This record gives sequence, structure tokens and C-alpha cells, in this order.
Amino acid sequence: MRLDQYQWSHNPRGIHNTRAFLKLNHERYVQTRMGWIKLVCGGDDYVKDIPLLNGNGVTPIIRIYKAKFGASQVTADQLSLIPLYIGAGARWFEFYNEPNLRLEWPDTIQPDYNNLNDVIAPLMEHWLQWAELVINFGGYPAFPALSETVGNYEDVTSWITVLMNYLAQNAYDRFRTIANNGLWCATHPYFYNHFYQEAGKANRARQPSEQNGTEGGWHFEYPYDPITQADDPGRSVLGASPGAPSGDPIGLIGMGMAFMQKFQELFGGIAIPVVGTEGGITPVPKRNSLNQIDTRFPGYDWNSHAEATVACFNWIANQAPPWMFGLTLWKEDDYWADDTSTDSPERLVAVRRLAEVPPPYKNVGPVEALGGPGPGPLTKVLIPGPAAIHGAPDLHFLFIASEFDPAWFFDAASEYWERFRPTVLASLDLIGELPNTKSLAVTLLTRPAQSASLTNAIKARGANIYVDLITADSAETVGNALRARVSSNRRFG
Amino acid sequence: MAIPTPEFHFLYLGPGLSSDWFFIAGRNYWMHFKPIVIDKLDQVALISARRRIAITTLARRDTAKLVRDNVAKHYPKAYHDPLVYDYVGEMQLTLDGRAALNQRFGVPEN
Repeated sequence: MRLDQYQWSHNPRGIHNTRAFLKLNHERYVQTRMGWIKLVCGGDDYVKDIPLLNGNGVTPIIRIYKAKFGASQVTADQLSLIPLYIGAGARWFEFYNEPNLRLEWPDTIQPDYNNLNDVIAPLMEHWLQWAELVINFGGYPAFPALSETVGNYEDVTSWITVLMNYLAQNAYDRFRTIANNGLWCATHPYFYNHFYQEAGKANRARQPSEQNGTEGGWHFEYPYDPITQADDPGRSVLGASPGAPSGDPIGLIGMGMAFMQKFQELFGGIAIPVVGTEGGITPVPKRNSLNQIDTRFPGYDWNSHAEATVACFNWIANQAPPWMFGLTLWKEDDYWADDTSTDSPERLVAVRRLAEVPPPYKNVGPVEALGGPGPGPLTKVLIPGPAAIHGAPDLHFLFIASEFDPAWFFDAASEYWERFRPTVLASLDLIGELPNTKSLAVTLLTRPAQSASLTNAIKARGANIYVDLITADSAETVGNALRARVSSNRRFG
Repeated sequence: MAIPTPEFHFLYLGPGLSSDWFFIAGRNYWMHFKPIVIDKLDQVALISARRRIAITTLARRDTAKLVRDNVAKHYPKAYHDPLVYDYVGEMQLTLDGRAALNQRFGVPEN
């Protein structure tokens, strides 16, 4: 599939709706000449709006909201809603939202990119399944937008690398097929003040009061702009530089470039569309204030925010890579200062300026998604420690933590042990001895206060280990948990 | 054979022994010494042969020879500590005594 075969408005301007179920104000999108709208839906709430949006030149992007969705499989109601929206004229769909953020997961799971078994593998396997369903219905599935968070277990460059590596190792052909049949990449470019308008020279920036959205000289290519490269030569979205050892994709097209690099390197890809489905120049401005999070660039104020917003859409249309299709600004109630907004006491100047300035049109050439057979599946890198579990683990250890009263175990666990016969131990040293050809699950008996540190201690001995946690403060609690397993014949919880 | 200071100490429940042999007979012993409890001898093979290993085996008279032969055949370098009784109560007396006297293998340790 080629870039020019995707159906959309060819207008990069977009807005994200306030929340599900709120009635849409179509007049707003027409006045500000929007080309995209991101609709977070609760169900079929916006099906009837789709024809009108398309008729007004506003291409809808649909995400059916599920709280703390984690790595869940597509649900029955989502499955029934997708064809409903497609039947109404929608094509563009999202599934997972910022899966590298804790708040998008059930409370029991830490979404760590190092956790292949519980996080990365189910996320990508269930995403592949959903993407193929969307394509079969006639839609375009989005590769999940990641939160542009830096560092720790949420680190965005680590996440994109691990996700793409997983697909290249485990689903090379499936992913290429999806890429060649409607895949697009969703990003969330909240890009702060990572932009500027030239003041005579490429690396000299105009001050906010001098900026004009309809004049030239804008730079939104961060981190490849002249100011950044002069400050930290070689800074890139994924590679290391002295100032950004893990890469720096925090720009309008940064995560799109990061995806495209991995797509090209691992799959022989050329390009698929990228749409920012949240983001913009953030935070939204207030009167008489200057936002200058990054001091290498000028800040932006009440008026210059509007000029830069107009300019960023023109830049997407005229200067961005061909795969950058647009951005839906976060979010409608902030721009129009609706009662629901917590950040914006009055309507932003950007609303007026977008209404005044004619929308840009992006011409897209016949760029193919794939450039030949590609490099082939990525060789799996052995993760230190026990092997990955396929079906049931080869070994089952029951670890009794030092703070856990072993009398509770002896009082309550005989039936469980008789049924499942795990290896019982009180030290983790044995795990370090295991060959990497054997997979392992560890049932951990611990008091609640030690559960996190002991889980981490076990995981530190091998990312593939499945930790089956039982926290208890009494023999009765542990007895109840283990007896329930015996009666339902479930080795693990 | 000298009494070892093992890096890994296994408590093996021989063929046909129910959970009582662990949960009743071995309770005090385990709480005192915390050996690794297994019911399959091949789990000992997970550990490098370079390690100092001891295996306390619990067996009834009818399977004692089988257990002894298997340990000797597969783990000739391991220290084998065989306990043979036909009743849970008898096994418990021995294991409780070891726990009370702080004798992991039934004799004083250096």
C-alpha cells in the first residue's frame, strides 16, 4: 500500500475531542478548518457524526475507550463497534493508548518494558490480532501511541525499541503484511517550545512578539534543527549524543522518525502515515505568561502560541517528511475554554488564527510501505536467566520469604503441595543455577510489605520468570488462597 | 565420607511418599535447616557438578535401595544422607531430633 492510497482530508490540522459521549460542535471544526478529529468514544456515541465530519473534510480517528486496558484482547463490544464506525465512513482506528504509562494498566501490573512475558508479549500479540481484524473490516489500524516520557520503566525510546524488536523476532511477516495493508503510526507529540522561527539566520530565533505563523523560516524538525545541533552535535531521536544518551524524540515528528527508523531497519519498510493523536505546543498558554521549558529556545506567550500552532500545520503540509499526515491538538475544551477545561480560562488565540488562515493541503506522493523483502526475522537474543514460558513452565518453585512465618505454610499448604508438588525453597540461589533452556514460575509466599521488593529480586534473576504472588498476614489467608487453587485445580492464581 | 558444608542441600521425598512425610515428619527439620524440597531427583541435575551438593533422602524400606542406587549413579559427587523408615512417626522422631540438636545430617558439624 502506498502513502497516496490512504483516504483522508489531506489537511494536517486536527483537534482531540474533550471526552466520550459529549455532543460534537461541528461548527467549530468547520470554522477552524480542521482536517482531523480524534474521537475518544464510549460506544457508538459518534457513529452518526461520521458522515457529517467526512462531508466537512474532517477525517475522524476512532478510539473506543477502556479504562486501565493494559494488554487486554479486543473486547466483544469493540469488535461490534469497529464495523459500525467503518460502515458510517470512518477508517482510522486506535487501540492501545500510551501503554508505557502506569495509569493505562491494571493496578496489579507494572508496565515495564523489560517484562517480556507479562507486558510486551501480550501487548503485541493482542495488538496484532486487533490490527488484522481492523484491516479485515476495511479500516486502518494504528501502531500504539506511546507517552513521550523519558527515563525509568516508562522510557519511550526503550519502549519503541523493545516493541519493534519483539515484532521483528516473533511476527516479522505478520507485521509486514499489516504494514502493507493500512497500518499507520499514532504518536503523542507534546513538544513544548521545541520550535522557532528564524531571525535572519538559520540558528537565530525570533522572539515571541516577532513571530508570524504565515511567514516562513519555521523549524519544527527538533532535534535536527540548527539550534539543537549547535548545542549538542549529533543529537538524534534514538541514538546517543553527549546531551541525550538515550536519544531525544521530544519534537513534533520525533516519535514518527523513531518509528520509521525501526521500521526501515527491522522490516525493510519505507513509510506509513504518522498522525499525532494528542499533543501540540504544551502547556496551553495563559495571558501575561511565558512558557520556556527548554531555555535553548525562545518561550511562547499568549499570542505567539497561536502563530506557532498555525505554522506547525503549514510546516507539516509543506516541509515535513511525506509520512507526517497531521496532529490532533490536545484538546478541544482547552482551546475553546469550555467549562470542562481545567487548564484554560479563556479561549485561545489559536482558535481565531486557525479560522483566519486558510488550511494547508498536503500533497502525498506514491511512496510504498515496503521496499522489498527486508532483512528477515530478527534473531532472538537470549535473555539471561530461565527461558520464556510456552504454555506451562518447566519448573515450579514455591519460595517462602524470610519474613513469612513458615508455620503458616505447614499449617495450610499440604493439600496444595500434594496436588502440585512444587519445589519448596527459602533461598533464591537455585534460580541462578538454572540453565537458560528451562522455564520457571515462582509462587512467592510473602507478607504484603515485602511483595514488591521480592518480586523485583526474583525478576532480577531472569525477566522470563513468572512470579505468582501470594501475600498473606496469617495462616488463614494463605490457607484460603491455596485451598481455592486446589478446589479449582489451578496451580497458579 | 566427611560431612560437607553444602552449597545446596536437597531434601528428597522418595517414591510413593505422601505430603505427610514433608508436612508432618519434615516440618521442624525444614523450619530449622530450610533445605530445597524436591520429589524428583532429576532436579538436582539443574545445578552445576562443580557445586557442593548434599541430598537427604527420605524413603521406605521397599524403595531405599532404588533411591540409593539412583543417587550413586547420577550424583556420585554429592553427599548422600539416606533416611529409611516405614512410618511417618518414626521419620519425624529422627528429623525432629536433628532439628533439636542442630545436626543437619545427624552428626555434629565442625
